[in-house]
Amino acid sequence: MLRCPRRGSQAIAALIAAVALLSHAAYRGFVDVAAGSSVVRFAVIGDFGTGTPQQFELAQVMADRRRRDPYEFVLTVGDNIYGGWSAKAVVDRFEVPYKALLSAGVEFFATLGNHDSAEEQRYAPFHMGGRRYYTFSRGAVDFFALDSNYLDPPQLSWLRQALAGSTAAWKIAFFHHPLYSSGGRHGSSADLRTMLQPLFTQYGVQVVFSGHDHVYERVKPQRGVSYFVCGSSGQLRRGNLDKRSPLTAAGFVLDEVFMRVDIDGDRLGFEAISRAGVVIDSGEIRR
Amino acid sequence: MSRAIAIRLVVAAGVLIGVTVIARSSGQQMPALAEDQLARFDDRLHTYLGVRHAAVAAAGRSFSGAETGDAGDAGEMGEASTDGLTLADAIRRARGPVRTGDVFGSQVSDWVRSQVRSDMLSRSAAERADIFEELPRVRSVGPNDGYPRGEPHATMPAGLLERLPPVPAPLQFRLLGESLVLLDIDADLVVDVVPHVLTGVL
Repeated sequence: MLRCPRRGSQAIAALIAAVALLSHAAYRGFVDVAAGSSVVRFAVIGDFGTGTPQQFELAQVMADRRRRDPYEFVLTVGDNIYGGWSAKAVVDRFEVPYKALLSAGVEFFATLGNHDSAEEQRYAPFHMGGRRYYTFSRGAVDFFALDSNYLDPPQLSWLRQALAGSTAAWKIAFFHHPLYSSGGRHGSSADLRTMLQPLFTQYGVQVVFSGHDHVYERVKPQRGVSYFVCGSSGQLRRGNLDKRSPLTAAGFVLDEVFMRVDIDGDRLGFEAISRAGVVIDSGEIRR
Repeated sequence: MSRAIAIRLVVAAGVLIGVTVIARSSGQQMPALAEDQLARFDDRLHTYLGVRHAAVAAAGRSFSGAETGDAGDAGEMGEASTDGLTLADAIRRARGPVRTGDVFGSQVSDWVRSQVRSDMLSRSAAERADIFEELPRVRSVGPNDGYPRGEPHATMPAGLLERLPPVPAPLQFRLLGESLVLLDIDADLVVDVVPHVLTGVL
């Protein structure tokens, strides 16, 4: 686990990043994909729409990384545009930072965070189709995008129906507020966990991505479900992880992070990559 | 026993009794809203939606959400505003003067307030603090006010939403300041307010 409880010096950060790099150097998380392969490859970002240099730098790493390990789309776990919706904000905080990815045809599938405007639902590049919650499929994977800001009974009914009707090998949910988080600012969302966890376990959701806490955390599997907090793709709360949390399998609070995921048959490989381009966590999940 | 110790004991007993009463009241089953009250509330919601629909029709063009009238807000979001009229403006104009409680009605307002207070008192202090931390700080809010520009829409606790009747899109319940508002989420317009639902419970 990689954590820094207080503002560390550049030297300490570099040292820890170097250790992380060495510890993961041997991991070959991503298979070489032939044309026409059924491998599903995507990235995950959260809490990113700040327009800060950190967001731009991580976006550049995402683009650079994609040239080496291609991915076709990006899931966003909310807080896509901070500071309110305007044409200028969406350009400054989304279109310009991710220009290289957008130009390359990478699609973004968004969910809403508490800092987002309802207008984002109708912003075509977010692929929400005017909806707060929706589902889409890629290969053997069904994705369930939820609006955790407003998890009302109709949305829960919709989710139950959508999960019950899914025959996909992999079911992945993504939304803003984490059911499990060791983040010091917000932590786990108890209400959401009460309502969503039974559905996830009943219908075989394997992986859940969230944000809200501006940290990276891989949570120890809970009732068979793997949870990730990927909320530091544009804004970091340095050191903001509870060091004593029994939930944490891996954490990183030294730098901004995005995730790379590929799903091939019964195997899901993941990497968390920092703004320095360092793989700070990686592994695989078997179905 | 000194006078100071006696006072402390009396205060402690008072606090204990107060906590017990609150805990019991929060654990009680809240009475359900009468069907006729719920039906009338539903009618008022649909009246609002009818006025809203007419406002959009009268404007003679489509709106892109909480359009600000800034021509730069068009692009992917749809048609540009050339008359400077926002969706919220159009709805305000069509609604005319409105008063707090016009949509909720007094009985539904009282019931909603009791539900919110009961829900909040059933939560830990840490949960309540987390909810409060997200709320935009506003001194007062009334029907036809805009949602504070640039402020996040505070997360609505899912457990509380489970207690409240579903409302049709684009309407949502939200907590704002110490009030619960019925928000037209696309127009960012406060449709009605139940004031002081959080006063004394956060």
